[in-house]
Amino acid sequence: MKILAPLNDINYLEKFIVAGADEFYLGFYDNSWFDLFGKYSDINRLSGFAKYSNKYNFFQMIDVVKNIKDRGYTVYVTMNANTYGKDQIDYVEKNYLPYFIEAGVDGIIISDLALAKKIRDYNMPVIASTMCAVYNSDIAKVLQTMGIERMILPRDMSLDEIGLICRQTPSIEYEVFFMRNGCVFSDSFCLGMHGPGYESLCVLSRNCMKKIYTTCNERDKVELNDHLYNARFHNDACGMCALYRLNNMKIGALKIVGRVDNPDAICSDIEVTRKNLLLLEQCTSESDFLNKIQIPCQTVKTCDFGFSCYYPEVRF
Amino acid sequence: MIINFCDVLNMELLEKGIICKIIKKYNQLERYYIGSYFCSQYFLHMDFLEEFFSKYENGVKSTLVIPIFTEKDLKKGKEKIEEIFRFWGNCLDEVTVNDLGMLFYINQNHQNIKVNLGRLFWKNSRDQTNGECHEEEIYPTILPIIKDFGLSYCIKALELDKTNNKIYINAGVEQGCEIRYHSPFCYITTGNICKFASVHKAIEKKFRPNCSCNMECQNIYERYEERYGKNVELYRIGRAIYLFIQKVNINNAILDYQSIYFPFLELSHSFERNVFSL
Repeated sequence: MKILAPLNDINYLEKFIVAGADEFYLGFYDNSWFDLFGKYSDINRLSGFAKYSNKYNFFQMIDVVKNIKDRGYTVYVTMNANTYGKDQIDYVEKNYLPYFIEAGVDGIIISDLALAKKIRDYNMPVIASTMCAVYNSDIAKVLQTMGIERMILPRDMSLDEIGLICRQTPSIEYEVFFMRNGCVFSDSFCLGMHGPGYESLCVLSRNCMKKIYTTCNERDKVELNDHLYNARFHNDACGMCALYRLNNMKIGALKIVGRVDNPDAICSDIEVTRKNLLLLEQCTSESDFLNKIQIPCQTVKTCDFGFSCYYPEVRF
Repeated sequence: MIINFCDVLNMELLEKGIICKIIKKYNQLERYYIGSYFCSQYFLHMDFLEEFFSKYENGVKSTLVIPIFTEKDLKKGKEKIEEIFRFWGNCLDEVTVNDLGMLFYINQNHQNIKVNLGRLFWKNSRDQTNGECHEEEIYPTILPIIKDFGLSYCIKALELDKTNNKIYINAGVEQGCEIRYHSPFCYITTGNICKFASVHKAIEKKFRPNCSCNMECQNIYERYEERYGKNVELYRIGRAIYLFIQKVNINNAILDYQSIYFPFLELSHSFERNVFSL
């Protein structure tokens, strides 16, 4: 399994490589795009956070890509906004694709199938983002007929289901969410605006004044459930304990999430993931692995009850 | 008039006559929507179809709405669909699908059935707290993809949410394709982790994706009211959060449209509920 890491600062490339990353993904901003299509037309899912999440403009990003390729590593570019209009797809074809190809980008992470089709017309690989909602093997097979051979499975899936999909579609390479930034909703269908001036729905739903209407007489259970959901669930997320099972499923890549996160923290996650992958090679069983596993330091104190687990069914 | 009973219809509402009152309110009722957009658990456990169709079919056709099944429910979901068609196929003349996999399945197994592309196909951003509404041209880029697959002929309608004050649909839509808008609730987010399904779960088992449940969503909903001094009309109903939009002018440049009405507030007001603020 490969470790896929977000890169938002070229100064961390060497550190991430030494820590053990195999692949990288990054985004970019382009003022010309926003001038042409308006401020609500995202280039990628994090465009709303502007340069905080997309530090480099398009040509700077291309230079970063070339840097990564010169080092012999794999790099993907994200174009996974909710949706793209026809004019935007034409813009990508004319203004971005030639540079992606020339720089040697290994693939484009896409959300929109029309954009995927356009990119595939140039024989460039595409990776189906979690925005493509590959929740079952039927959907995966349809996307595969479009030439999409690598897919990111949604966060809100159990290990059993991931395993089932892998067995049903063994020729597809799957990437799973592995470290950082849990989400209470589905990436694929969370359509609130992300960015300054808009409070994300997950934050709003936890912190907003609300009324609960119920015919149930168990107020204590409803309140406890509400409190745990708001205060504890997926404030962070870690999938380290699932490594043994993911390896058995022949998962292709482990995604460390967080283009806006502290790069030192990401580096630390890459290191501990690499150490546990090496440990995996020596373990003869899952219990052997779980006894020896190194837990990422920031999640040790949040490991109780599985609220910070991507795959809590391993321990709970 | 189309009435959308997805994700809310249950035996208790039927037995207490609440559905009857709602249906009688609306003249020229031409269609019911039955099923689910967001929850495979709800869909798999629909136990009211016999009761509903025997009482209310009366020449009114129904649309079966099919959610996206995760892998573990895919086979069971298809079996449920076949069971529904076997027993009540004469009441159903179309289905609404929300993913390409199910579109292919229905086309391969029920070629005489017309298919609608459900609201989950459309992913334009929706602003929930900022009062600014903006014009956005919706170009349904999924349609050329479906055309490439040779399936355009079976698409009867596109179902959209009222996400903006003005929505234009350009000529990307095939001739004869209907446009239907959901009203007055606009869905803005959903997922497989159901908050309400965890009410009765042990602490360490809470908030698992697509877990089994006791249909707690039929007895609980949330209304979000105020944030930073602004009014926020958001509802959590089942797995989805909706924005309640009372008035939106639809400016459709090309096509007429039909409304799919979700009578959630009427249904919820029919019950005396405990209400508490948090």
